[in-house]
Amino acid sequence: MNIQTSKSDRTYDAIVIGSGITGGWAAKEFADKGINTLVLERGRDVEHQKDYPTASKPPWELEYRGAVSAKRKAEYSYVGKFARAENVHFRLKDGEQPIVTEKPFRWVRGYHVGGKSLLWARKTQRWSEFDFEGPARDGYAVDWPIRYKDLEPWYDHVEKFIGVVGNRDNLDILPDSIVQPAFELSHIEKHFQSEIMRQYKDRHVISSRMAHLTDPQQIHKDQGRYRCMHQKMCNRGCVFGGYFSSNASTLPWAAKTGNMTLRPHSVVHSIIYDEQKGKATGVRVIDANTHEMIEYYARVIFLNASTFNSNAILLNSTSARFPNGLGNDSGVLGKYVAWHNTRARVTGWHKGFKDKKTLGKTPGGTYIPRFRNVHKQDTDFLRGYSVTIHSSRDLEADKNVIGSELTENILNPHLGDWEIRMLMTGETIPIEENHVRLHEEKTDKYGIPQIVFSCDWQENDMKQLADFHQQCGEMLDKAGFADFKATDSGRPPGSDVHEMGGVRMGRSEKTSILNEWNQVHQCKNVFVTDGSCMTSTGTQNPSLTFMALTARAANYAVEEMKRQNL
Amino acid sequence: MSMNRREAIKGLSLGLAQISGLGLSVNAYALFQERDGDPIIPAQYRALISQIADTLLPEVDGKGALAQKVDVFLVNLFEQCYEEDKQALLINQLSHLDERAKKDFQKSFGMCSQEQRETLLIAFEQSDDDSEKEFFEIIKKETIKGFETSQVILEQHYGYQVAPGFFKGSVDITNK
Ligand SMILES: Cc1cc2nc3c(=O)[nH]c(=O)nc-3n(C[C@H](O)[C@H](O)[C@H](O)COP(=O)(O)OP(=O)(O)OC[C@H]3O[C@@H](n4cnc5c(N)ncnc54)[C@H](O)[C@@H]3O)c2cc1C
Repeated sequence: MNIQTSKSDRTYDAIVIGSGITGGWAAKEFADKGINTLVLERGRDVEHQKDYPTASKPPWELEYRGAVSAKRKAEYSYVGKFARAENVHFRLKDGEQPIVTEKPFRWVRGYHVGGKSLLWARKTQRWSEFDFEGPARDGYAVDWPIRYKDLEPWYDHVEKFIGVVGNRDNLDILPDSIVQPAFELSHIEKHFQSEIMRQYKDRHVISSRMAHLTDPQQIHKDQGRYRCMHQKMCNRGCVFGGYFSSNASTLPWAAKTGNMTLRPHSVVHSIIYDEQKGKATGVRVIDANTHEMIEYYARVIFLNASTFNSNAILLNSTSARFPNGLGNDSGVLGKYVAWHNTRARVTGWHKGFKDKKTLGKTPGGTYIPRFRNVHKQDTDFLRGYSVTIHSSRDLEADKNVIGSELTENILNPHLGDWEIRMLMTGETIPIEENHVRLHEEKTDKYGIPQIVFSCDWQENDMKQLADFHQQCGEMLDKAGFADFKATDSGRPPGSDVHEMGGVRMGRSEKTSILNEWNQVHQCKNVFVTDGSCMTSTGTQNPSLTFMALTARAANYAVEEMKRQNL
Repeated sequence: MSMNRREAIKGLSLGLAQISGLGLSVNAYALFQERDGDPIIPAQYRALISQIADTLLPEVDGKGALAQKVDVFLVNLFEQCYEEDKQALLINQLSHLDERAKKDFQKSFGMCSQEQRETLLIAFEQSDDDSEKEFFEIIKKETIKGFETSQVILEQHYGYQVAPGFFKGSVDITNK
């Protein structure tokens, strides 16, 4: 793009920063409403189908059977062992954005068109009233300025478009989604389900709700998507569009309206605040290829760069009016960051059901919504955790030999025991000390200040973890499992990939950055609708809620533009 | 990185001198090539890798390490994906294995019988020497991996399908 273009050529109705799960949604909603929209994305373009180089490839067609060459690996040392040929091209290259970790933190990023929508595990659960009421009831963070009923129609709206599989489980702790037929449970999961539901009054074992298509409707066919083919290779990009990604869904949809311009290689530096007008007028972008700074202008700006990037962009948007970052008179920007505790795992083995096996492949699994401290406080820790369950009965071979016996063993595998793996998703409590800020001297290669991470576990997290181990062990025991193993990965915060907060919503501009419409209290034409807006974290996989908040805010922004309030 | 390589390569000279006794032509330079250039693993070591893979997974009913071209996979993997210190370990131990064959059985590894080769490899597996043990573990693990991820084995013995299009969680096992 020619940066000599006139100011009017660089002026849009709306600017969306980021093209991931939430940015894609903002773009789609605006484009559908006829709003001339510019989407700025720091990474390269990734076109659906065309730019999935490893999609649908069996192991023997991958170079080095999936291992990554040492030369290439050296470019991804931060990604480390997660650098696999299947999708290393969607991972973060060293040097792109160095960070300072005052305390251990692992930040997983996906910098390309589509963002982490190409990497995610596609689990989608709605929040319930118990989650929105949490901070007020239990006395932490601040009260959410919205409740379930505010978001309910937007959950509907999003789910119809992305497609969600699951059952109507009729649970107050996990409101039903609009669903397509659920993935079937494995035999051991069905057994576990019936035993737990029989022996516990407060625990529900359900088929995981996930953003896949098992019965595509017209709206999905219109997106060019097909039913999930059970390849179980989702994090390479899916040529069928069998699961929701920005690339398969919202972005091409927005493009088709003719109202969206997508500009890759555009690293947003900051938001421009106009003192006279008392509002934001545009954004400063560093072109990733030329490192030149370019300005783009719009009436409305949506910040969807993912949790920590949105924090950083606001913190870096300083002006005489806002010396500490845009909308940050309160000083809470960057603080009250929280995430999910996914350190704990319990694996169990069952000796029975030797006459049953599975066929085909499932991208799904089983899920137990939070059962601790739901209706009343019944433990010595705050909040609780959900449980994500996967299971298998795999073909095994004795490989403790060599020679023709080894060949024969591998050629004649036998089915092993049923195995079940239970993973924790614990709600962490946002506190002021857990924060991100900008480093005073260090910058990245674009001259943008580096982010300092100062986030740590709390005693509450460790109590939850111990309870998870204990409760899962008990459940496996009651369900007749012969043996189980409880582990704590000890991995640092961030490894859970559900980072949230720092730009939280709230009722007062003294204690929060955003209002009930995700508008910056003190700069109403800037909206922040990614995970950074989260006041608390719940125990659900969060992206469905981010999408619903984004769609709701975008539609509100359109109304406000029509009313000439923006 | 380059330090590693230099150090690692220094350690090779002994092995090279001895392997030349095999009567194979040794191109010492081959070892010094950078990754994308000429082979890092010289021909005689490649042959040895094939022989080891063949020993670990000999052909049964027409299927085995060589039939499935696991040796080709191994050489590519070691040359392109392994770090330089591990490459040096592999090359050192390959030459060491061959020496051991000559010492114990008065012939090169390739000339040994299957039984003699297995005896040699098991001695590495059970060795008190960490490098010998690690060498055995790497080569066994990767040989199995190459075999198990090959098309014929996955499709014919593990029911592999790229896109089955379904999942059934509870199927009766009829004849197994
Ligand atoms: C392995 C994995 C599994 C996951 N599983 C689940 C799951 O099962 N369920 C669930 O709900 N969530 C899951 N998540 C989390 C989910 O991916 C994120 O919550 C979601 O992608 C967040 O959406 P986003 O739009 O905020 O950010 P992203 O999807 O990360 O998109 C942000 C975009 O902004 C761009 N950007 C960043 N900075 C700038 C800048 N300065 N200028 C311009 N562009 C910028 C990025 O390049 C990126 O494209 C998972 C994540 C991972 C990594």
